[in-house]
Amino acid sequence: MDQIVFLTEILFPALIGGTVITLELIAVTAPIGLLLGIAIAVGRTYGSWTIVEICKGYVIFFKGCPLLLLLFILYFGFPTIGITFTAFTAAVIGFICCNSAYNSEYIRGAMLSVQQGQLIAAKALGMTKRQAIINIVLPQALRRAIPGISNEFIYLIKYSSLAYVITVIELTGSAKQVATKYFMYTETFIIVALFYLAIVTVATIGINAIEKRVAIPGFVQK
Amino acid sequence: MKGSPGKGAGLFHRVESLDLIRVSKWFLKTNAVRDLSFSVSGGELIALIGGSGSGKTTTLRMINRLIEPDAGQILINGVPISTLDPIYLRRSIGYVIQQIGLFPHMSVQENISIPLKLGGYTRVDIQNRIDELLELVSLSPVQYRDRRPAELSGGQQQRVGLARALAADPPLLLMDEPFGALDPLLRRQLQEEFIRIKRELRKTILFVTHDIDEALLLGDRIAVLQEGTLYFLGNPQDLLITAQQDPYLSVLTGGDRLCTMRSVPVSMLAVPAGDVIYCTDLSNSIRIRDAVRNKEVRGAVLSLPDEKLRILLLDQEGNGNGISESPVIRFAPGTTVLEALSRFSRSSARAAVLTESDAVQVILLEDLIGLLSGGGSA
Repeated sequence: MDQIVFLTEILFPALIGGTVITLELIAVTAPIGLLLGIAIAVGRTYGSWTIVEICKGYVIFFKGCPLLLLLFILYFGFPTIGITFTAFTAAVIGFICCNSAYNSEYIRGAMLSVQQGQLIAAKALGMTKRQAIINIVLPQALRRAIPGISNEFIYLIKYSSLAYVITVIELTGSAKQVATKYFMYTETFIIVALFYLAIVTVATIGINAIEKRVAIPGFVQK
Repeated sequence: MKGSPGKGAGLFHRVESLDLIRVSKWFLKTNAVRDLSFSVSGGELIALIGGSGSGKTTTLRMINRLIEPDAGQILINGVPISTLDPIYLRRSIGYVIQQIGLFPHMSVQENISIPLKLGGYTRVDIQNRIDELLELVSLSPVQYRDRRPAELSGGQQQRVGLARALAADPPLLLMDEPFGALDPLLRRQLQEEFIRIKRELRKTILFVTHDIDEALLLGDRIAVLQEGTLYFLGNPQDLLITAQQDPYLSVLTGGDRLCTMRSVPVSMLAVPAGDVIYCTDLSNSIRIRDAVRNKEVRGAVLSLPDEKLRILLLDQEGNGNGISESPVIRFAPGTTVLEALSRFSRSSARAAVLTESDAVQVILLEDLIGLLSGGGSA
């Protein structure tokens, strides 16, 4: 079969469809994963004893559980106890759990690096603890956590390919289908790799732009 | 301000009195503050001084309830602060910390506006107040409003910190080594500006410092803390006088280094023949005492026992003219100090009955001993 025809009429349309699903997975997971990560980091640093322990448990469990296994449990295991997810939902839940656990650790580290004096100053001005965390600690901590969060975001782009194992036809899944059907493994997978590379490159550029934009003038982060 | 609750100004608009009654605080097994009692009256500046770990900062932070005492009570205007909402209490108390107090992610005006937003000021009021405050601390609003703290020098940051603490016009100010991290020149400049601001605003202030010169310069009274207890409380003059007999205070005040304070018989105080002496009343001047300390002028400071009157004797050139608000009076060659002092007797009942057998307290710079008759054998 003509290589050009294979590429333009079979592989690319299939991969574009897969890319859309991959981007959807990321678009749903990343914001929720970040917000949940912030919540867990705050809970673990400033929460009551119970909240601290719950957040600790969450992080330990999802950092320790292989993501693939987590997806299996969600997609194949949960139906046996009467909870059924679509493949897409199961993948998103799994990704969010993993993504938020790691994000929370990056954010927690950044929060601990915000000087103690900042919180004291905020309290001394008459802020409530909540006001101090929202207005003083988080704006500084999140800026410092950007390198970590962006790292995790890029991992997410790549580990979103695991969704294919639980039948989500995302980028890798669509490629696998085409490759198997037309027996064009090498070409297909190299091109898929280039697709991922493109997505990651765009993401990296975007993150750098965000980092630059929110940078504090004159403030060198030590 | 995101994340309410709570807009609203402070709990009190004036401080008539601040009382610490047998306050104690332990950290683990360390007794940081022991049985500390003292009272501050409205409009007074108390300088808290002492070595590291003497409980200065802990004392300050118990007053705005950043730290809760383990025993004892703190009263403001007679009301125990433990019965007040700490959030609202803190909005009535300005707090200035060394270095780290400003929020790096906020511009100067955002930093200053925090107490105003918490106090529920309107937008227009906030904008006006920010400009007013920046001018008060000698920063041009147009130039500095939108800068971030990292774009300011240390001295400018400290000014912004002061402006922020003053923003909501709190009647009580707590200052924890606010000028500690600055170089000596800048520190002096800010101290002098602070004296001006203090005069203008008339607030009740507790000022922690480890710099005795700063305490002597700014304090209406000085509280010396040692290992969490009150070692001494009194006005600067009393501190210097007491330091003569007390080894700890002597070391603290650097009595051996900067100046000596001695009890000198009046009869010994005479100006060598041929010299002219200039005298001025120091009772209202902080700068002049300081000028002598820094050897900007040559002179000796005399303080009469039990009197507020302090008198500076200047050298023959009369240097230092103009640094006191009181007129400098010129005395003819050969005038004895007793004669010079008696010139002030109209304003001082004590000086009026001063006789040759009396002694006066003299703060004397080493190189000015020659001003005394007897070549400094005093």
